Amino acid sequence: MAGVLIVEDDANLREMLRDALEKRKFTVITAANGREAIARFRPSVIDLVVTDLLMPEEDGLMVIMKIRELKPSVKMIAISGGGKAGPGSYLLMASTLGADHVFSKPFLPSELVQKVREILA
Amino acid sequence: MSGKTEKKSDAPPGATDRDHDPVDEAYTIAGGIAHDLNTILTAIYGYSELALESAGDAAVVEKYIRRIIGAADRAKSLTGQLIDLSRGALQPRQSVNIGDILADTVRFIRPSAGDNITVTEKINAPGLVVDAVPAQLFRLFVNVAVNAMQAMKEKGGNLEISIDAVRDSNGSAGAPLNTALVQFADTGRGMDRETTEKIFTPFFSAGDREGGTGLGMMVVSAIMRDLGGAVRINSKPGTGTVVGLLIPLSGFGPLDEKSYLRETDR
Repeated sequence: MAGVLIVEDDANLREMLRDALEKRKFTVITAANGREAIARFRPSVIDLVVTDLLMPEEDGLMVIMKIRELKPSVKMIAISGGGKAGPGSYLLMASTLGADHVFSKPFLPSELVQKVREILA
Repeated sequence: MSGKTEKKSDAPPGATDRDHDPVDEAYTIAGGIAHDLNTILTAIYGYSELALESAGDAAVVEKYIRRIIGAADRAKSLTGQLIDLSRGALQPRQSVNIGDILADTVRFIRPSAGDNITVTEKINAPGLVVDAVPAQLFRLFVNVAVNAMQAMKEKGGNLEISIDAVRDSNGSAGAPLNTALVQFADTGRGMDRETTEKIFTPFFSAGDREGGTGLGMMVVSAIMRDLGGAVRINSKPGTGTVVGLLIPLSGFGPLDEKSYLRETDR
């Protein structure tokens, strides 16, 4: 089954996303920040990365750029609650950097799972 | 690590900047609240949907409902921070004994310290009085103490909270002591310079965001500005952090924007 790396600094949300994807039989690896994500990324296991954007250490935009260097074919979904740079603008930057899809929080796990399946199909 | 303060030509990392635009700050706070609430709502929506999908398995449903409650607790903590922040504008200041508020703070935080964290008080200058709203001062101390305890969560350690009377940089050797220094020294994981410079930013966390609101140190910064005080942070990765809150004593004006203390002044 496809592998997904979830990068999210909010522990409660990170576990929710893990449960939602594991329930659909995806192999899931999690990371609490960008630096951890880059350290835990395994090109042979991970097909898609779901990354928050505003995080300590390396942020989500750096995750997109650095993981793309490690595996150009990896798919990316960016998620964000908006904030400092204004609603949506970080997501716009993520799209510009090549994210395959972006989600504004809040969203339902079923919406995320459906999009993951579409992108990996 | 040392908690001493040193003479520097510029404010050290983490110093509060009193030359700020309140409108910009309101936008920043609003953005921070929106970001955190959207994250909390995603968890609540998500666990609710997962619970519905797991309707036949009572144990799993219970697990998800507990996580929904955990997310709602964070939202409650977030609104609590905002209400305490707004109290500064809504309630008159009064003369407050810093030691009394600190004693309340220690009573409040000690139960959550666990077995591996000790909290000690060192009141070197008893009876110091400042002009403040008591609830704001309490929130200020709790936020700094909770951050210190989170930094020691994995390995344990000691949080020493001290109160001293000092004079700011404008005071000559014979001038009266005009400032309270409330210092929180932990033996936790510490922070590098880059992290220290970001800690007053809303929704920035120096560690894993577990239970925090992401607004704690921003609230600290806002309250300190309101009090006419300054924050000094001295931190080293792997060693610990000392957060010094400099608050003008009752009857003295706000501290200079870039005031600092020399060890010899103390």
